[in-house]
Amino acid sequence: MPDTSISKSKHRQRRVVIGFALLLLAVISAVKWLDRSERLAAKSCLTRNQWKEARARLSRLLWWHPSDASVRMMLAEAYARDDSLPSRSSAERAVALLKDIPDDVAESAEARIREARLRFLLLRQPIQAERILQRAMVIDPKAMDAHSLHWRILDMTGRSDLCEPIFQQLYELSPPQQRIDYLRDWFFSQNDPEHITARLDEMLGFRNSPDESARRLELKRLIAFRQSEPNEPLIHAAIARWFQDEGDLEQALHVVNEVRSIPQVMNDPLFVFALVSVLIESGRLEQAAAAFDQWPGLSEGYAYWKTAGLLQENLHRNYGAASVAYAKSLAIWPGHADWRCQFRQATCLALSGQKELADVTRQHAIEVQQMFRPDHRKRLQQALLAPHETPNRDVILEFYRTLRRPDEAKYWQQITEQ
Amino acid sequence: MDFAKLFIVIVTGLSILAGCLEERKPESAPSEFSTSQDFPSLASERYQQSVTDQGQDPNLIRPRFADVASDVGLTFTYFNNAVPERFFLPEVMGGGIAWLDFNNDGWLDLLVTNGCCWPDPERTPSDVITRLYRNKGDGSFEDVSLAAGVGLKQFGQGVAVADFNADGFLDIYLTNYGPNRLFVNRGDGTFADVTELSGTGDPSWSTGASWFDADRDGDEDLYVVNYLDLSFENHRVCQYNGIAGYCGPGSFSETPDRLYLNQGDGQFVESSTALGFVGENGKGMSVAVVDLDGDLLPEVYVANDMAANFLFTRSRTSPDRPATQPIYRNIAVDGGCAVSGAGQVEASMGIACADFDGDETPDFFLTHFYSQKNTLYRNLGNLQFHDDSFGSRIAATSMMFNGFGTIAFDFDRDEAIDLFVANGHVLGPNLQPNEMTPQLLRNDGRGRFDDVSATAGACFTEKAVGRGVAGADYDEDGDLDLAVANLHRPLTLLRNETDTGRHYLGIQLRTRNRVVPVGGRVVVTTRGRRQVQPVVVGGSYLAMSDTRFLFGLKDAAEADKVEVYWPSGRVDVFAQLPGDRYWMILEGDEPRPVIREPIP
Repeated sequence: MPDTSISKSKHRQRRVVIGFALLLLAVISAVKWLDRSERLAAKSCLTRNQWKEARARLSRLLWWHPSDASVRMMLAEAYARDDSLPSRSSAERAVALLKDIPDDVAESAEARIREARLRFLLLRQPIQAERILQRAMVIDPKAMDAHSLHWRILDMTGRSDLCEPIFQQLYELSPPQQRIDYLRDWFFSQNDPEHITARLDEMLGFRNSPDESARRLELKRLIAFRQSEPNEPLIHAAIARWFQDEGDLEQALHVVNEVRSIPQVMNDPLFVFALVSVLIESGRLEQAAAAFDQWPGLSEGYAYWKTAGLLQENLHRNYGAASVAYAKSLAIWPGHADWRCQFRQATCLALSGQKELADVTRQHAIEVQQMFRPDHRKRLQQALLAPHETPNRDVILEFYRTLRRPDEAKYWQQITEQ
Repeated sequence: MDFAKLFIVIVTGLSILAGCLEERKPESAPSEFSTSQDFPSLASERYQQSVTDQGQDPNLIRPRFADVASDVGLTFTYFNNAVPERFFLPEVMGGGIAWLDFNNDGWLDLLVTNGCCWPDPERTPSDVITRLYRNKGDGSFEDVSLAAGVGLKQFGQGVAVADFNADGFLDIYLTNYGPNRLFVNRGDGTFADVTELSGTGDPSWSTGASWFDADRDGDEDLYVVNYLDLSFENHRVCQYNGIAGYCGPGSFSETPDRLYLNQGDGQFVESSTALGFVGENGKGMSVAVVDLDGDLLPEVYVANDMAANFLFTRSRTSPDRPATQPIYRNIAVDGGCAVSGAGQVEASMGIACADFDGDETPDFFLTHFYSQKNTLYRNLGNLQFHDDSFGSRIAATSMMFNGFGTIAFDFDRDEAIDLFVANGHVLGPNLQPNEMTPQLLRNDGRGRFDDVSATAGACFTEKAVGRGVAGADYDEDGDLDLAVANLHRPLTLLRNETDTGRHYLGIQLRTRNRVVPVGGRVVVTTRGRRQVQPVVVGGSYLAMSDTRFLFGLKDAAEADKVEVYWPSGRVDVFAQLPGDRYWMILEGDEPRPVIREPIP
């Protein structure tokens, strides 16, 4: 009789375990089913622009799965796209969600791009957006959206000079049928930036009336960026250059002077370039030279060599050295289009006794200058609308050949002959 | 479960707190630039320096000028016939102004051109005429326009003065919108209109003009600068951001300049092409004639509005040169003074020519448009020039001004040539800025300029639409005074009342054939320091200045040596010439003191 009671007990234990296991399985399955349903429901809410409900569902999901990148991204979207919320605070919420997505998950590149877009378009933080984009491009070097947005940020912060590598990258990455768009973008970015910035100024809310001039809009935009990112030397540099271009050297000096207290401001080559340029134009050549001596990073690039040339020409009066520096600058984009610098080089060549080379250089400078006359620019803009027509293609090719830019000429030739 | 949630809440709260703390870093202490040369408040540095130095540096003299025009009887306002909303460009150019001793009494008189009703000059009010003011020698002027016979109704622009018939009396050439006029001085205080006889009545729109001996035959020839081909037929109004204003030179074609060769019998022959005074797209505003390369032959520099400037020099003679080859050629492009250093054409209204950097070669200063820099071309020798607008600080002082007439002079007698600029915009009263203050730019002795206008007197704080400027020591006190022609406001006479406590040397040159010795130069040496002033004819804008030389001597009571290089090749050298007076030097003769008591 004792053997029967032990086996009954073991049998009961076995039933309890199995029952518990089955219950656990049922609970887990139920939870998973609920989870999946909730995700589907949340996605459905997003699709139907039911932002509040989407947020409620996604918030619950996030509580359960705090490191789920896709949930974070959806919740961020639910904030960012809800027009009923104040745009700044919703953007900040969205950014806070996105920035916690680590770089080692599958969605990280896309998360960085979205965060950058929000920072740029809604929070007006172009420099922070740029830094985040650079992370995205490290994660996914072929992320075209990242490159495109980076290009726009450079255009909108007075740094179109730096766009060439991005253009080349996008051109290489893009399918053949899209390349003509990038070629057009490249032309307008470098030669007629209002074409690019007008649209973005409207999106960013800077344009209050259709009559507002592009120049005033640019200043408005830069000042707004400075308000959002007051410690970014690049923005101050862009504002200083705006005033310098308007001829207001006093104000340009005031702007660069304001950033004295920003730590490491002289670590930014573009700031140093702007500072030195303003100092040169205002006749403070010794100060300009002292600032130039602190040029951060590598002693190279269009801006560096152009500045070196200006100092050699105007301070040291070493016209031979100036012409060498100018030559280095002019070999790097946008040097090919910088006819003013080409004229300076011609003058310095003449003054250093190289008359024949000076004459050739001056003649080339005149030819490039002609390409930027208002009437010629209009012709180019018209040609870009219908580049496949032979006369229009010839106008475009003439432009790039005059500028000695064989790559662009080749690209246009290939595109328009397809 | 509640415990877990509590745990989560606490952890979350701590994380948020840590994040806030991380975002709100304490402000770093302001860091110094890692350079021995920090830059202080740069925006106000220039004015701070000029104002501070005025008070603290005993060697810097505070400028003082006072507008005495109405006190001395010069009550003249240029009539520009501005009709509302017409925006006819000649209305905005302003009139000419010239200092000349027309009656040879030793006192400089003043001539100012006037506008008229256009296109019907006969409708002009009777009191709107060219004005000639005789200097009475007691600090005041008397209007002798009608008596002198120069009180004509014409849309006056510039004026050039010379003794073209070598009779000892200065004659007057008036440039106009419309036919120009030549008046010969009869020697009795009156003038006769000899335009038709002379053949110099160019009907183009003329602006600047200069007399000089272009063909070296011993008499004065006449270079006339012409501006635009503009008439009521092709006149139009331009829009600037929807506001109407005057159209600029780009809206019209140019008209070529003229060179009238003096035939010696009262007649002139237009010979610009024959002599080589040919340039493309010349929309001329001003002309200055001066020797730039030390060969005693004058060059002719023409400032063109939004077009490349001209620099005409004589072709070097050679046995192979065919007789038909022009004597002059335009070398501005090769010389580096046609456009700015960055290859941009500039507005180019007024010209001043002097040795600004003390290297004994004459440099050029040109006034330009608003938000364009003015330009200083440094002469490097061999007719090569460098745009030194940055290094000279001229760019920094000029971007927010629209410059016109300009005078180079040593206001503080520190042996460095300073600059005066009359400013005023051209787009019309509907657009701002329109009126502007004039400027006084002090040369530090190395060809670098500081704007010291703020300390120079109330007249430098008053805004006007300034145009021509002519300088003269009208009160014979050894410093240069400035007559400024304005639009919409009376003429200004800025008497120089700067108390320098320093000495000066005044020199008046004369040749036996009465031709101004342009091509020559005067060199004054004091304590081993040489100052070189070339003979300059023309310059400024629509104006003619006192042709005498004024050298500042600082604390030296005399010049150790004075050398006069005449265009004939002769060099006269004089030692120990006492200062604080004028000396008249006739070629080949000893200097003769000009005794005249200055007006108190």
